[in-house]
Amino acid sequence: MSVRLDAEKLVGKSGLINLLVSSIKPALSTIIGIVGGMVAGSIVLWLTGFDPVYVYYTIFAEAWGTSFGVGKMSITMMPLLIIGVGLLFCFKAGTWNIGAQGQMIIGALFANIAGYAFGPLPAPILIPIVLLASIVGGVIWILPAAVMKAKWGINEVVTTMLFNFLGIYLLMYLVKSPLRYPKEYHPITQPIYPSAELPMLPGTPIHTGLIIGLALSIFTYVFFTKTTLGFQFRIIGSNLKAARYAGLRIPWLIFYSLVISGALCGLAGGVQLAGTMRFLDPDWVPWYGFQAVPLVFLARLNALALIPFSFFFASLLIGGDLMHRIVGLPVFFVDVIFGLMLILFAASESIRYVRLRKRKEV
Amino acid sequence: MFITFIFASMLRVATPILLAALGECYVQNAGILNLGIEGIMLFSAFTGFLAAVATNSSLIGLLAGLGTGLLLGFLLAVLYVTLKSDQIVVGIAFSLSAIGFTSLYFRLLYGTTLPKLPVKEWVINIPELAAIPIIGRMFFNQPFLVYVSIALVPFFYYVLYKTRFGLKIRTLGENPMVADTAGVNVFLYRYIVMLIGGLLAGLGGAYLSLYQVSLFQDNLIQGRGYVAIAIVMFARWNPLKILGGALLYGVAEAFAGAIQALGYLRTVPAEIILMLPYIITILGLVVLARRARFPPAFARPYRREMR
Repeated sequence: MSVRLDAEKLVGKSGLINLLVSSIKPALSTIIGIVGGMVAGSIVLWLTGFDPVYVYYTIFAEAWGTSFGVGKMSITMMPLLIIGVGLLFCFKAGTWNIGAQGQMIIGALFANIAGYAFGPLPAPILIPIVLLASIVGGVIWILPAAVMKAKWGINEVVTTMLFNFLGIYLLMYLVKSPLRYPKEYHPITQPIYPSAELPMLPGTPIHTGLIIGLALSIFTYVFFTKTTLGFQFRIIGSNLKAARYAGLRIPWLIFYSLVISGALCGLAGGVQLAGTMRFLDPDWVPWYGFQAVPLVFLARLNALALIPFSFFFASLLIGGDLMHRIVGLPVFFVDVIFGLMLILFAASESIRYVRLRKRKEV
Repeated sequence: MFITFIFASMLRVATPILLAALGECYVQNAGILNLGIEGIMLFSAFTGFLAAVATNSSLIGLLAGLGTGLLLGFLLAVLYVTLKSDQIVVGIAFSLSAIGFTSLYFRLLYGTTLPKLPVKEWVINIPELAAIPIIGRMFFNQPFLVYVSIALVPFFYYVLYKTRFGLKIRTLGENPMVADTAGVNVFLYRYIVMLIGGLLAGLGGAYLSLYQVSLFQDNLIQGRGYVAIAIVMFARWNPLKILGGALLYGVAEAFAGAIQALGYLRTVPAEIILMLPYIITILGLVVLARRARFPPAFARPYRREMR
């Protein structure tokens, strides 16, 4: 029935417009979020006395038009993309991991230790060990929150958030005393062995860490569309009542979703460490953990859509960093835009929902 | 010496948490989870700081923080109540942009120079009584807001459990549909609690920058908003128990401060000590919140057409 109607519409004069509208509609909140966020950002700029056109032009010109910007692209994309996949796992299941920052720190810490503690093993052995260690670190850092949520229903937003601060302080402590590398004057950890480093793809500006991210997002897309477990995650995320009637083991699914999420955020830390940093300094506070939240929502919890969106967010971050030196506008402006995008996205999403319901009732 | 220090500072450091938690208590009782509280506190700490430096008066700074809190509480109420947006998403997004906004403008306005804050006004000090050993300074030498916040606790308890207004708020969290059928204006009352919550969080934030740490820096709140939310949960939405939770947090933070200030750092590393308040909060959740019964309408926007 509906198929025939669509066909009729297509034949009609306004068919093309209808097709266009119907294909844009699901993405409407995303478009409102991004465009609205950038417009609101330009109002902020204008009120502050900056020329919005010049600032935005500089951001994208620096990110896409300079060899430095292009070179940094895959390095900035990889943590965003991997954390994005990690957050997607729990957001799809209706659970909230806001502790990506802490998990990333502990993941990087475990990767760092594994990268020098096992000795100079050959790369094909050492790299998997390092990445596995970072996954373990991420899992350890979300485990308390996951158990508390699954077992006692304690709100995981608060607990995962508080574990961020514990992670930040633990890193400071460990790097300043027990893990301090004595051969360096400044407090840093011992660098990983060269064979533990993730290389660039030969002859390209693409980092192998990004390949891990791309593979993960494709895998996650397949997982949620084709597998039973993925389907079960989606059910507990969209309708707990239905999940209960279907006899799903809800606490276990909640637990798995959070643990997988923590594991991936830990992996993001490991990839970051083995890919670019090589060692840790005590004041490292990665903001990717929070910046990935708007990213995942604007991508409408679609694992494949995470790829272009992490590219877009990475562009803003790189351009914002370089723009800082040219325009004199602090890089925090980019965080303002990210936050505004997500607020506007959430607002327009709910308005759309209300409209839809009203139409159905008529 | 050590004990005196802890006693003297525990009320002072518990105050911003207590203020924010009292506001959040009404908000959560009415069925809203306001994660934006961290952002409200940060914004108010910033505007309070600006106003205090500009007018050379810490009281005007507090008022500015209070006004900022009211305004942002209203803004979030529009998003939570009228637009019925997802409260967790909006709360996190709001707090993220708060960090961005305040850090951005702090740099634009001051660069790397730190402006000097005015003298703290209305700090109550009765030297004779404050000289009492151990507990003297705890009770008789504090900023006035410390006393105000503690006086608010029984008042908030009374209003919540003994008045029609409080009953209406609690019904909103239990079952907004029933409240609506009984003639309670669900939207109006949810706006009111968000304004109360915003006001108190704003006051707490401004107090933190003006009276407690006496400076502003990036992400000054350091999760205190989330700690307040956790305290409301493990105090089971009861203002009297919230006082207990805030004091527990206050002792932990005062203990950490005492170790740093009195030079015990050679025995215990500072970073481990700074973790203590968060650990206490998490333990509080584990021990006390696991049997808690959440308000059934918690974090759910009310739509009339859902009936």
